[in-house]
Amino acid sequence: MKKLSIRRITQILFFAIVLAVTYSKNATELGLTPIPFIGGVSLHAICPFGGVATFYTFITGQGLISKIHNSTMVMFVLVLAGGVLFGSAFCGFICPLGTIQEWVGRLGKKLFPKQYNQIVPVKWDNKLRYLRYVVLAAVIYFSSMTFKLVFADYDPYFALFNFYAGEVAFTAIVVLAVVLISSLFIERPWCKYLCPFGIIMGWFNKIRIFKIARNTNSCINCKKCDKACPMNLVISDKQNITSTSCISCMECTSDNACLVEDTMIMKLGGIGK
Amino acid sequence: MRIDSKIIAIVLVVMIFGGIATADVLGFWESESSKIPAKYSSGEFAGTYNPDDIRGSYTFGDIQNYFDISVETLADAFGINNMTIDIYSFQLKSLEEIYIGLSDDQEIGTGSVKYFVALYTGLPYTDESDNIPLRALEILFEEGKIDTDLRDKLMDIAIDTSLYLSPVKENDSDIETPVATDEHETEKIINGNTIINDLFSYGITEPQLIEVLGEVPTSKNMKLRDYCTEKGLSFSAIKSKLTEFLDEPSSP
Repeated sequence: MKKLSIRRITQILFFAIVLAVTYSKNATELGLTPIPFIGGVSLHAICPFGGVATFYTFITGQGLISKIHNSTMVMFVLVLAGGVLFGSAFCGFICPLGTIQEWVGRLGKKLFPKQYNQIVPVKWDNKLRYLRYVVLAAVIYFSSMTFKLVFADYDPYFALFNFYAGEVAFTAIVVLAVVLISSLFIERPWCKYLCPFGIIMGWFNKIRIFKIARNTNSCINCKKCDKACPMNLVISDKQNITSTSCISCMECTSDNACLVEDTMIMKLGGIGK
Repeated sequence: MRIDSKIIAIVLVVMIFGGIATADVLGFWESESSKIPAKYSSGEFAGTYNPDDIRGSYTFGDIQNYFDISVETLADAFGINNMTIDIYSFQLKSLEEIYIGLSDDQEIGTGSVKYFVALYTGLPYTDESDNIPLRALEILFEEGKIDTDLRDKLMDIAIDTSLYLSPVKENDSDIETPVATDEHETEKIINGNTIINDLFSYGITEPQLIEVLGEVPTSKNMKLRDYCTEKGLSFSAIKSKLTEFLDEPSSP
C-alpha cells in the first residue's frame, strides 16, 4: 500500500474536522447530541473566507455581516499569518474543497489519463483565471451592500458539507456538481478559475518569507516540475515561484518531480535574482 | 533554511490550533451568535436595537426580549399560533420551511419578521421588498401601528398565508404538524433548543433550577444544552431531572 504523504494526511485531518463541525451543528439543530468540544459551531464560524466577505463592513466599523462571528475573523488572521510564511499553503494543505477536487481528480486521472488536466487550451486557461478576481469583487461588493453572506447561495464548499441538511441553495448544489464533474477532467477547477479566497492567498506567494525556488545552476531542464504542478504552472523557466495560482502543494519540490538534489526547494527568501 | 512538506504541515496545524486556543483564552473565540441585535449608531434612534440585524437563528422569544413584541402577537401574525410548538423558542428561519409552498417570487421568512418588527416599532428599515402575512398587516392596523394609507400600500406585498401553510416534516424538532391538543401540555418540551427562559415559562422555579444545576444561570437566553456543555454537565441527565419537575401534578 502506498504511503500517504504528510500533505495528504493534513488534508484528511482538516476534511474530517470540517465534517465533524457540520455534523455537530446539524445535530444541535435537530436536538440531537452534538460532538463534545465542538457543539453548535457553524461552518461559517470556522471558514476564513468569511473574513474576506465581511472585510469592508469590519474595517468601516459597521460590524460583521450576518452569519459571521469573531471566530471567523480569528481564522482569517491565522490563515493570513500562514500565508506570510508559506504563501498559499492553506490551499494545498488545508482547504477541504481543494481536497475533494483532488480526490475526484485521482479518479479522473485513471479514467482519462491522456486528457486529464490538459483539456483547457493555454490561451483560454490564462484568461479564465481572471474570473477569480471577478468573483472576489462581486463577493465583497454584494456582502457589503446587503450585510448578508450572499456567496453562501453559490458556495460549493458550504454545499459540500451541508447538502444533506436542507439549508443549501439549489444554485450552490449546481455549482458544487459542476466543480466535482469538472474535477474529473481538470485538476482543481474551482481553485484555478473561480476561487475568490485562492486569489487572496495567491497574493501572499509574492511576499512569502519561505519561497519555492528553482536553482538554475543545478536544474537540468527536464521540465518534470511543470508536469507535476496541479495548477498547470510553467515552473521550469522561473527562479522563484510567485504566481498567484500556486497552491504551495510542494509537488514540484518532491523527489518524484525533481530528481536533482537541492534544485526545486522552498527556502528562506527564495533564490536571489 | 530549507522547508519541506512536513515542516509546513506541522507549522500550519500548530498555528491554527494554537491560535484558536490562544483566542479562546483571550476571549476572542466567539463562534456562535450572541443573539443580541446591533443598535443604531447614530440619528434619532441611536442606541435602539436595529431590526435590520435580526437573524434567522433568533427566536420569537428573542424578538420579544429586544423589541417588546409579545410572542403571542408574533405567532398570530405569522400563522403559527395554532401549531403545537413552543412559540418562545421558535426560530425565524423555520418560517421559510413552513411557507415552502409559496411561489418563487414570494417569501415569508426572516426578512418578513424584520419588516414586521420595523413597522410595529416604528423603526427605520432598509429592505422593504419582503412579503409579510396578511394577518400581520391586520395586526399592525388593528393596533394602530400603521394608518389606512400605509395598509393599502402594503397590501401589494401581503400574502394570505393561511392558504399556504404547509404540513411540515415529521422528524422536525422545531415544528410539528398542527394538532388540536392541550397547548400547555405540548409546550413543555425540553430539547436541544430549549433556552433557560423557557424553563421558567414552563413553570420551573429558581429553587428547582438550583437543585438541578446548582445555580440559576445568569444568561437566560442561553440554550440549556450549551449551558450543560459549558459546565461539564450531562444534558440528558439534567433534562430528565427537569422533566420530572414538569411531570409533577403541582407544576403550573
